[in-house]
Amino acid sequence: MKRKNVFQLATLLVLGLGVLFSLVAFDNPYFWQSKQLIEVSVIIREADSTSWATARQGMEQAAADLDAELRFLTLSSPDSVEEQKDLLAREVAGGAQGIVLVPADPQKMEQQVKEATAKAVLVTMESDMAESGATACISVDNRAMGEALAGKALGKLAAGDDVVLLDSAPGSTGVSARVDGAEKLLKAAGCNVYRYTLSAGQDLSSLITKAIATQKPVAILAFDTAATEQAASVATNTENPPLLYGTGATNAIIASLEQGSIDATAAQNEFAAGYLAVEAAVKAVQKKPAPDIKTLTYYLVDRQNMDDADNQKLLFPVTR
Amino acid sequence: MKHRAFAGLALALVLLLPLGLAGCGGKQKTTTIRIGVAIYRQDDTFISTVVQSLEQYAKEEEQSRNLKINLNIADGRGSQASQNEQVDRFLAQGYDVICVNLVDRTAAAVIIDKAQAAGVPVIFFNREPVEEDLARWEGAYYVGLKAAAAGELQGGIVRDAWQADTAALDRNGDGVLQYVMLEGEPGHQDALLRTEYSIKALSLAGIETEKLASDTADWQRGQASTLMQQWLTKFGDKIEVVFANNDDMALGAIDACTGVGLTADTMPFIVGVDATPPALKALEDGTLKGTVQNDGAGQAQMMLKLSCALAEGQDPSSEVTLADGKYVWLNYTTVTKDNLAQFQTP
Repeated sequence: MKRKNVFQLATLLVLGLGVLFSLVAFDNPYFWQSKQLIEVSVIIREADSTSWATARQGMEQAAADLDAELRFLTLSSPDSVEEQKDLLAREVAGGAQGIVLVPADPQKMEQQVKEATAKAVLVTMESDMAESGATACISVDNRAMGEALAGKALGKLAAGDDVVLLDSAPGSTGVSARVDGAEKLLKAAGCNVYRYTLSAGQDLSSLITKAIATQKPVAILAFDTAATEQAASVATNTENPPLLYGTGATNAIIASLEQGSIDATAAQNEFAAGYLAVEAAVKAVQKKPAPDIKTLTYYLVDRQNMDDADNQKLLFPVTR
Repeated sequence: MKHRAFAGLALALVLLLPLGLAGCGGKQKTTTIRIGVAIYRQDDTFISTVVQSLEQYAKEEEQSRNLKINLNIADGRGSQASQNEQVDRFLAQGYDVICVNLVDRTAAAVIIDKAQAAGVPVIFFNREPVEEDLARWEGAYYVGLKAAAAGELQGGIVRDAWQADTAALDRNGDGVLQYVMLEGEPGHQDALLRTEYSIKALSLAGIETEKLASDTADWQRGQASTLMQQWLTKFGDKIEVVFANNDDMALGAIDACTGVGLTADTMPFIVGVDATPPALKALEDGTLKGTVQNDGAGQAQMMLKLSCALAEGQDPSSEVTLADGKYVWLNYTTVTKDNLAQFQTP
């Protein structure tokens, strides 16, 4: 009888160890499921990710905090709708659970975004695509930002002055809203407003040079980071450069602000924007309540207030 | 009763076994390669072109290798301490390979030791570590170009222009080439070698030179512009040639010249290194007279191929040509208005 008990105990022990071993040794998904990272793909509309450096830090921080794996994708040529469509389809097919998209042209991408949102969570930045199924939009109030920038410019403009507005991303409804807001306010103030729209394949620097040479404006307003940097670069090499009001807070823009080639810039907290975008995507994948995001705040920074503590944090965020 | 209890328990364990074995059948092959890229400054025009190329090539390699390549770009903003923290973070997060563009080339040993301890290969690029440091570990590599060659080619541009039409450069007709030198970071190997070898190319050709001034502008356009303004005030049209260790500084010199009303025809003969897009534009405009292409796209491609080979456990020499088992060397190319079209994106 005793021998039989020993045999039974030994059998149970062997079976138990066998189950334990198989659970641990072979990456058993049932055992390791809590360690799976949520895959989030970020697709921007630019070819150069330099201007996204701070936002990307925010995204990476969110990914680290929320157990997400981040893929950051740029385009071969800026604002290429076809490439964005391909990347979107590829990421969804590749298993991305969440996508953060800065759409080059929301109207032309409507169908692809609808298809993508059927399989993955999609959050946009800069332009809203809620009607196409996007879960959230992380952005400033674009129209209000454009109006604020125009309002700042009006501090040095008079009725009858010529003003050039750079519509550098006509497909982006977010950027267009900024231009629209500025245009309305400037026209109401009696300025002569000339809207220069970048066409497909056109070089931004050439557009800006042409605008300055043709209109000889008192002021130029730029509504995204790339246009602001280019405008500052062109203005530096121009005799009697116009006043320049821009958007963004990259190192190049800050340097131009310090040197006086940019009079003011409208900037948002890029780190926070990046963080919130990834957070919104991850929470939606997890079917958890999304962060309570209203629109982001923007700040008008000029040479007089750029040394204020709050603006310093905005312009020079702490890096990791 | 006891017999039934034993039988029941044994049956339960046998039924649980398939649950455990469900994860068996071989570990799933890794389909994602994670590469951490630590750069010294992303607002350096040349480095940003390398990053852009890396991001584009990553997409192409994903398609051809049927896997995912996740790049994480970390900007050191000119601080080696920040870069060390970024490397620590990559290693802690289990990246497969790290690529490092050192802020301080003497800091390589610390990074190599950390990478070795973590068993993660490290590829340095663009800023060459000291040879002895790279030799510390077989998992440390370098992708780049030989700095002296850039200086030789840059000097060659000026030499060829002088020999082709001396009067055009020798403004005061004294037979001596008066120049100013805009240097990169103090003590930086590329800055030292480019400075030395650009002038050596002239002296070897028997051209007498006179240095009016030289100073560091830290590779930066703004600083170079400020320096050049000072030199223009001090020396005026005595400056016949401006050597800049990189294009950003050459463009800064052009900014200063333009600022005082000089044109492409009246400003000094200005040469740079890198062949960045803004420099190619200046070459087209005639304000920059020549540059030397620093093959950023080539470096990015080699870094990616090497990274993929290392991450997948392959022999790296199957993907890239290694010198001394560690170095992937690329070549500089002279760029002037004569061959500019080859380097411009259509």
